[in-house]
This record gives sequence, C-alpha cells and structure tokens, in this order.
Amino acid sequence: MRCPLQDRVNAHVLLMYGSRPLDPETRERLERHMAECEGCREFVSKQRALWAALDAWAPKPVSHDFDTRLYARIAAEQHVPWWKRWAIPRGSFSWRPALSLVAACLTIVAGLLLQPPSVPEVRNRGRMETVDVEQVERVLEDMDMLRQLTLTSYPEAEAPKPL
Amino acid sequence: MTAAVALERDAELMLRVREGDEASFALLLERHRGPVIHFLYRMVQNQAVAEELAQEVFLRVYRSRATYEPTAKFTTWLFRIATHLALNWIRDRKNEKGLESLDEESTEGGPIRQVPDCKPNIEQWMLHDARLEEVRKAIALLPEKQRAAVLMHKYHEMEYAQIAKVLSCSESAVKSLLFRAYETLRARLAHLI
Repeated sequence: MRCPLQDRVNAHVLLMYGSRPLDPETRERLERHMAECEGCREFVSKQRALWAALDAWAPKPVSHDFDTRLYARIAAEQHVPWWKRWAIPRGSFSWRPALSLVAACLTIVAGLLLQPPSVPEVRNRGRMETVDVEQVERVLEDMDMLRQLTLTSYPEAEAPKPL
Repeated sequence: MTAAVALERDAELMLRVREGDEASFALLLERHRGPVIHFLYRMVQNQAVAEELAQEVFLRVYRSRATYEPTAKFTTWLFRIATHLALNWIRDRKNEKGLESLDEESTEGGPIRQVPDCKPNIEQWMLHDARLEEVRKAIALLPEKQRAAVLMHKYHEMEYAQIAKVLSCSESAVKSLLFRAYETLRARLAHLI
C-alpha cells in the first residue's frame, strides 16, 4: 500500500481509521502499512488525541421554550395576509433594505433638485421647482406609506431586535 | 432504529407534513432539534444565536412543506439550510470586533463557572475550562467551510458524500477540506494532545 501521507488522494483513509468503520480489506492493508510507517502511526496517534480533545466540547442544553417560540412564530406567519408576506422580506426584519431604498430616493431627488437650470429652462424655472417639490412630496408619502405598512405587518419591527 | 430506516422515516414524515399533518412536523422537530442547534452552536459559538438560527431553519422547513420532494436526505436538506444561515451570520459579523464569545452566561464579573459536584478540585476544573476554551478558539479560527465540514464530520458523524451535498462541493473537495482542517487543529492544539 502506498503511504497515505504521501499519496494525498488516500490520506482520508488515515482520518477514517479509528473514527469510521473501514472495510476489512482496507483496514488490514492500512494496519500492515502502519506497522512499517512511523509517520502514519504518529498521524493516527495525534488524530485520535485531537478527537479526544474535541470530545470535551459538549453542547449546551436547548432552551425549554424553544418549541413554544417556534410554534408562536409559525402561528404569527400564518396570520399575515399573503400579499403582505410577499411585500415584506421573510425572516428577521431588517431596516437596511428600507434605508437603502430611502437613500436611493433621496439621492435621485437631490440630483434632480441640484441640476443647474439650462437657458431654455430659465423661463420655466418656477414650474420646474413646483414639479420638483411635488416629486419630493410624493417620495416622502411613499416612505411614510412603507413605514406604515411595515409597522402594521410587524408590530415588533418598531423595536428591531439585534441578534 | 437503523440509520437507513431513520432516513426513510424522515422523508415519510416530511411527506405527511406536506399533506398537512402537523404531528409529523412535531416528530421531525423532536428528532432533529438537538443536532441542528448543537451544530449551529459550535458554528457560531453563541447559544442564543444558535437557537435563533435553528428557529429559522425549522421555519424554512415548514414554509417549504407544500413543495417538498424527497430528492435528498432530509438531514442533508436540514443541514444545508443550517450551514447557509450560519455562514451568512458569520460573514455579517466579520466586520464586528473579534470572534469573542457573546456567552449569555457572562456577568459583569466574567463568565459564570459551574463547578460540577463530581470535580471538587477547582484547579482541575479550571484546567478543563482552559482546554475547552482552546478547542473553541481553534475551531472558531478555521475558515467557515472547513469549520462546517469538521463539525459535521466529527460531531454528527456524516459521511463525505453527505457533507459534500450540504456544502455543495465535490467529495474530493470535502476530503481536502477535512484533511487541511484537522491538520490545522492538530498544529494549534499540539500542546493539548
């Protein structure tokens, strides 16, 4: 048998030895090789010691109310109308998408407001300013509606809880 | 129950959930709640976060019930969702300071040490605690995919093929991930082993 440490393709056999059942033929070949290869013997010895060290990391007990909380979330989702479920991202509510949308809207509006007036536009400046103000008002109304929609669907979203 | 029977049972239960059987979902939850949370805990090293992510895993399973098809093992699907959520959480936190544990047991005076009755020797317990901290840090310093592969391989005894499906990579890639991960861990924990 070629040394698994030199033949990386079969190196996993060393990992399996001692942690997983190997087929009898592979096991026998590996043990015959290990009888002559100090490197592989040392590898297996250290790997077993590593696994013993990893075994010390026991998991913590699960909260007694885990299932209760899960079923409460399932029940809460089932009471949300389908169109709201579609409109609001699933999972933990995040303000980031809404903030990004607001920032984008404000940037667009600012760009429109800050455009230098061209000569032909000078005559219609009063009308343009009116149009721009109307656009700003519409954006602000959209933002407010989005906020209202969010608060109505997810009352807990008023106080987003960080993980 | 043999592993093969258990796997068939999982798919059968999930198909019943698809048909509206809530009791079958409860059985699946009972069977897989612990392993999923334990995996997530070792990935993110915070029990509260692990339980939040685990809730999201089972929520997604429940949401997908209408379109569920047993094309893969149920546990593969479950751990794929869990790994995806854990990797996203880890990457989202990478810009935050350190990888220090937000152990909910911590108090202002430091983490609470629970001394079990069977170890009256405080020194032995502190040594055990220090070794455990070393193991946790060593795992936490692994690249995320290596970490996930090691946790699935070591603590959940998954085979290479299943880990490959969870991580959406080839079996040879998994073998390589595991070999490098264990090599790193042996080096980092050399003073303990």
